[in-house]
Formats: sequence, C-alpha cells, structure tokens
Amino acid sequence: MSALPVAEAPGHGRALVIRNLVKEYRKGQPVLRDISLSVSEPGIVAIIGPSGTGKSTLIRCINRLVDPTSGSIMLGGTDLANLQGEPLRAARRRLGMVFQEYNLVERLTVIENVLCGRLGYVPVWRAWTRRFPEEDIARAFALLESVGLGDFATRRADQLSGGQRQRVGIARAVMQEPDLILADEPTSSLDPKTSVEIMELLAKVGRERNIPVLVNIHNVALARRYALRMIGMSKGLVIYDGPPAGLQDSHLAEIYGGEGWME
Amino acid sequence: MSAPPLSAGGSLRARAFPPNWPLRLGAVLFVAYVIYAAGIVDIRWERFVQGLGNGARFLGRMFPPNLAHDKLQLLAQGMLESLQIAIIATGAGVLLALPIGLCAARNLMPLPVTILARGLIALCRTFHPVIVAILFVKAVGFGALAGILALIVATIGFIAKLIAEAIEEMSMKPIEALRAAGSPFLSVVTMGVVPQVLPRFIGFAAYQLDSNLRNSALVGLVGGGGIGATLFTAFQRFDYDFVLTIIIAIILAVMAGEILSAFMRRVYQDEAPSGEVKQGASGPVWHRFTAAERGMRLAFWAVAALALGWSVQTIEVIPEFLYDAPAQTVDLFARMWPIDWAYFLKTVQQALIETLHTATLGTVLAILMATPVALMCARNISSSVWVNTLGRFILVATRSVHTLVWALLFVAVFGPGALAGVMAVAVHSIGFTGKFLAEAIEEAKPGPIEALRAAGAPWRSVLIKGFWPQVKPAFLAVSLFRWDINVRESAVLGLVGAGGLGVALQAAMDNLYWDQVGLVLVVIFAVVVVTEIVTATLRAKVI
Repeated sequence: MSALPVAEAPGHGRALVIRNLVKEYRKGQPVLRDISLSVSEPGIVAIIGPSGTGKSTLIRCINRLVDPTSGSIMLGGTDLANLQGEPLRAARRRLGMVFQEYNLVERLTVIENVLCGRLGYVPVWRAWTRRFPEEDIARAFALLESVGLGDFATRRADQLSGGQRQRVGIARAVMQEPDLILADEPTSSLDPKTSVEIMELLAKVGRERNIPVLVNIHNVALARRYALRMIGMSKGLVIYDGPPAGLQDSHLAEIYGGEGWME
Repeated sequence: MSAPPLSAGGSLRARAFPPNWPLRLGAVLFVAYVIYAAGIVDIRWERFVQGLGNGARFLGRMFPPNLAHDKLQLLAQGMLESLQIAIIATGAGVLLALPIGLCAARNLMPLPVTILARGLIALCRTFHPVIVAILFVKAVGFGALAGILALIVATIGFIAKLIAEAIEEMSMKPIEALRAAGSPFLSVVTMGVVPQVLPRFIGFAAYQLDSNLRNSALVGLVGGGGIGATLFTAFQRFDYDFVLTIIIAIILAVMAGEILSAFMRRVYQDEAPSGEVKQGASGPVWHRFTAAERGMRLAFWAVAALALGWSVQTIEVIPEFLYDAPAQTVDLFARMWPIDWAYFLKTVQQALIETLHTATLGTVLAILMATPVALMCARNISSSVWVNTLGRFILVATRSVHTLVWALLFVAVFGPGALAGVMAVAVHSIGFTGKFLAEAIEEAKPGPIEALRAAGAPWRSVLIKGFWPQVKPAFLAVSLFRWDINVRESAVLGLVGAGGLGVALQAAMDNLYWDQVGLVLVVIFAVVVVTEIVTATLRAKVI
C-alpha cells in the first residue's frame, strides 16, 4: 500500500484536553464519573475496559454525538462541550470518526461515501448535484487507492465485505483532514485477520498524518500490539493511563474484575 | 502510488460519477411530459391566482360552520344512515367474502375453482365504488340500498383477496397433520385454517369498516344515500357553511373509526391466548382463553352482532326494490349491448387522455406537497411534538375527505375541468403518500446519519446524502402505487365535473345512451388492467 496523501501538515491545535467529564443518561447514575485526560501525541491511543463502562460514551462525548453532563473538552483552544449549531459543525469537521458497524450509506457508491467526509466543507448544492471540488475527488481516489480499494470506487457500498467497508469508513474519516480520529470499536465486527489489517491501517494513518487516533477496543492483545499508549477504564473511571508495557495483569484484573478469564 | 490524472477538467468527476444516460433521458422526457400535460389541462398561473381569489371567497362563505338546529338534525340523520350502510355492507360483505376468499386460495382448492373465484374478486376490485354505486342506483333506485350493495361489492373485492393471500401464506404443516389424522374438509378449515388466519382477518374487517364509513360518504354523492347525499344537496343549494359542518363531521367520524379499528386489531392481534387450567368437578379443566380474554371476545362479538342487527332493523330500505334488483341489473347490462364503439373516437379517447394526465399530474403534485409533511411527521427528523402532531393532522385531514369531495370543492374554486381534478387527486393523495413516506423515513438506519453528522454535515446535506438514498426505493414504490390508485380515482372525477372519463360517463347516462355507458365501462376496465400491469412491471424494475 502506498503513502496516504497529506494535504496540509496538521500540528497546531490538535491537543485534546478533557477535564472532569461527567455523563449521566439518568440523573444520579453517571456512566462517566470524572474523566480527565489529555491526548496530543500522534499514533494509536487504545481505550480498553469491560462492556458498559462508558468507552463509547466517552468517544461520543468528544464529538458531541452525546451531550456531556458536565466538564470540558478542549480541542485547540475551543471547548467542544458547549458548542451548538454552526461552531459545533466546524469543530466536528476536525474530528474524524470510525464506527463499529462502518455506518456507510449503503446505497451510495464507495467514492461517494468517501466524499461524504467533505460534507462539512462543501455547500449543500454541491453535495446535491455531486459537484464536489475537483481536488476533493482526486483526493478521494488517492485515498481509496491507498486503502487498497482503488478498483471499487464506483461499486455500491453494500456490495463490499466487512473489512472493505471499514476501509471505506477510515477513508471517509481521513477525507475530513481531521486533527484527531475517533474509532469506536472498529474491529469488533470483523474476523481476527481483518482486525489486524484495520488496526495496521489506523496506525499508519496516525503515523503518516501525524495525528492521534483514539481507539475503543475489546481485544487487549491487539491493543497492546499497536497502541503507543493505553487507557484502562472501569465503572466510568480511568484506572490505568500509560504505555502498553506498563499494563500489568494486576491492572487488567482491576479493569475487568476477577482473574480466571486471563488463563 | 498510481495517482489518478489530476489535469483533465470534467474527466475526474465523470470517473467518480459516471453519468447514467438512460436515466437522464427518462427524467428529461418525464419533465417534458409533465409540462406538456400541465398545458393540456390548462394549469396556468393566472388561473391559479384567480382560483386563490375564488378560494378565499369560498372559504369566507364556509366560515363559520353552520350549527343551526335543523341542520344538525339533517347531519345526524345522514351520519346515522352512513353508519348503518357501513355496518351492513361490512357485515354482509365479509360474510360473502369468506367463502369466496377460501375458494381463491390456491393451496387448498382445485385450480378451476380458484380461477373462477379470482375472476370474481378481480371484477369486484376493478371498478371504483362510485361507478358500482351508479349502476346500482340505476338498478334499485336512489337510496341506502344502492349504497349498501355498492360497498358490499367493494368489501368482497378487498377482503376476499386478503383472505386468499393470508390462507396462501399460512403454514401448511398443521393442515397436513389434520389431513393425516383423517379430518373431513370442514374440520380442516375450522381447526387448521381459521386459527391461523383469524387475527389478520379481524384486522382486515376492522380496516374495511373504517374504509366503508369513509366510502359511504362517497356513494351518497351519486344517489347511494347517507351523509354523501346530504353533502351533495348542501353543495347544490350553495349552503357552503353547512358543507363545512358536514366535512368536519366526516373527518371526526373517520378519526373515531380509525381509533376503534386500531383498538380492535390490538385486542385480536396482540398475542396468542394465554389460556388457563381450572380445577373442575372431575379434575382440571383447560380453557383456551382466560376469563378476561373470553369476556373481551364475547363483548366484541356481541357488539358486532347488535350493531348489525340494529342497522338492518332501522335502515330505510324498500325491500321490494331488492327483489327485482337482479332483473333490473340484467336489463341494464342488456341495454348496454351492443356497445357503441364509434363513441370512442368522438369523445372517449379525449376523455381517457385527460384522465391519465389528471392522475399523473395529481400524483406528481401530491408527492411535492407530501414530502415536507412527511419530514414534519418523521420523528427522527422533527423532534418537536407540535410539528409531528401538525404533520399528522394534515395527513389525516387530507385523507379523510375523499377525492370526489375534494373535487366538488375544487370545482367550486377553479370551475369545472381537469384542473379541479388534478388538485383533488393531489390533495387527497397527500395523506396516503405522506404517511408511507414518513414511515420509510423513520425506518432509515440511524448509523449512516450519525456518521454524516459526526463529519460536520449541515442538516440539509444529511437529508440528501444520508436519508434520501435509504428512502428512495420506498419513495418510488409509494409513488407508483399511488399513481395506480389515482388512475382509478381520476376516471370517476368527471361525475362531479372535474374532467376525464367521468364526464363522458355522466353525459352518456344523462342521455340514456346505455351503449355508450357500456363503452366507457369497458374503457375504464381496460385502463385499470393496463395500469396494473404497467406499475407491476415498473416496480419490479425500479426496486
């Protein structure tokens, strides 16, 4: 696979600083209790933890698919936690998101799905008439080439396999030229081999574009292999935050509870 | 990296979105046709503006609705008769539809029987209830009896078809088991078929009662009794404030009917009977239903029987008319023969084309108006309860008032002709089209929508790129289905002066040229059959 095209060097303002983030879906039952962390280094940051511990909620609070109850989410000097309307849209353009179920528009072609990453930038009439700027289309083709789907551009998305769809999902996120990529369990619906390929691709995106990639992941071994940093969550709190090497069995026991499963 | 060529201007876009020439050509032709047809039926801006002026004056004369005591009494009489018509037609129609539907089921009956039954069902379905009502008015005279007979025909067409389909879709395994045990045919039906089909059957019957209530307002317009007769008289006397009272009453009755039928479906469809085992004198006794379930069912059947009995007892029908109805009907058809084919080129051809224009333009206009209403109704797009409710109210109100009644209103506003017909078809279709569109939008998968919002797309782009591709197949299917219905509706609009085949039919009947009436009926039959074939083919192709 060839290098991902870099449109402009992001570097400024990509530090994500979360302070005292709390989210309650029901009053008095916080899913996120008090999360504080900052991410600025490029590469994969893996978030691990048991189901229902708020990993997805954390990721979704960052790009405001979920509204936080309190706390701040600073990205390059703006607090995302309180944005609304136009400024929120502008902020979301800087955050690429990759979903567990890929979330492609299945009846559109692959190339148009990738171009959907530009919807935050192009005016509505251009999206409607499919008159995306020429350089966007060129970049979409180049991106598809680089994720190994160059020949699939005009296929409909529902004709692709799971792994191929997730590559399209990643290309769509990169198409936004984001300062940060959020990936919500990107490998949970894929087989082990494809999971490795997808993590490889996400790591490459982070490396080449020099941006952090925040990944929710269930597979601890896979996380260890690609992450430069790991965040362990349990019951809405951060239990561990450091390099993969420092993550001990005792930490895992605390994060997931019990030890029998580690045999 | 094998980079695509960046130089050539349009080529890259063409590579990303290769143009679909047949589709574009089709779209251009369709738009050209719509413009041409709009010219033919004389849809012009001036007429529209003029119509708006008339409409304002018209509305002014409608408000406030007339609530005088004598008028309310007339209204109550009419509504009561409509209710009786609906109940009797539903009861008798359903009873007749049961054996016919059973005979039409291909998994139970020998082929010749099903062909005969299916032919009968198709005949009942082809003609609009209004046309059937006209024929019955000629055969048995003005009044409720003609309306009842017309609606019985419509009920048979609808219910028998659905029963046949339900029987064909049921599981054959219990049937085989019963047959293997040596059960006689009737036992197979009562123990194997009925339990599987009953819940759906109750649903159809409830829907049909609802639909007959709506249609009983319709058959009255052509002399079939009930509230329709009251409405038509009010129109002819220019009592527009009373017209409004009647229309409001119809809308309320239809709404009440919908709530009632939804309730009936819930009672019967919700879940299987839980049953109970009680300690009897000689050991445990099993009951299929719990006491509450039995009470509910007993009450339901009792109410149904009482309603039917009351309606038959109190409706004003001269029984003598019923006795010679068969002879009269045969005589009517005898007079239609031989058919006056020459009338086709003279008048009917023109009227036929106008009918097709009316149906198509009305459907296009309906889709344009229904789309924003559907967006208002879809809860995953408009989160405001007020907007949802307003949208739903528009859907129910437009749907409750029948096309023919809308046509009466629009003839008063725009004058006689196809323009009034187009508007009537369009406005009535809003309810149906909008309802199905809203449901399709609500069924759209939320994942892709979320992804586009996460990319910072403005809401209109989310609509175009996230919702539209998902809704498109349903949108096309609903449009085609509605067009099919609208062709039938457009064929009768002329009876109230809104253009098309109905005008030719009315003229022939006024002149007592029964051979010409026969021709129009044959043409309508042919058009309906052809339309159904066309939509079936298109649907298979598009979806």
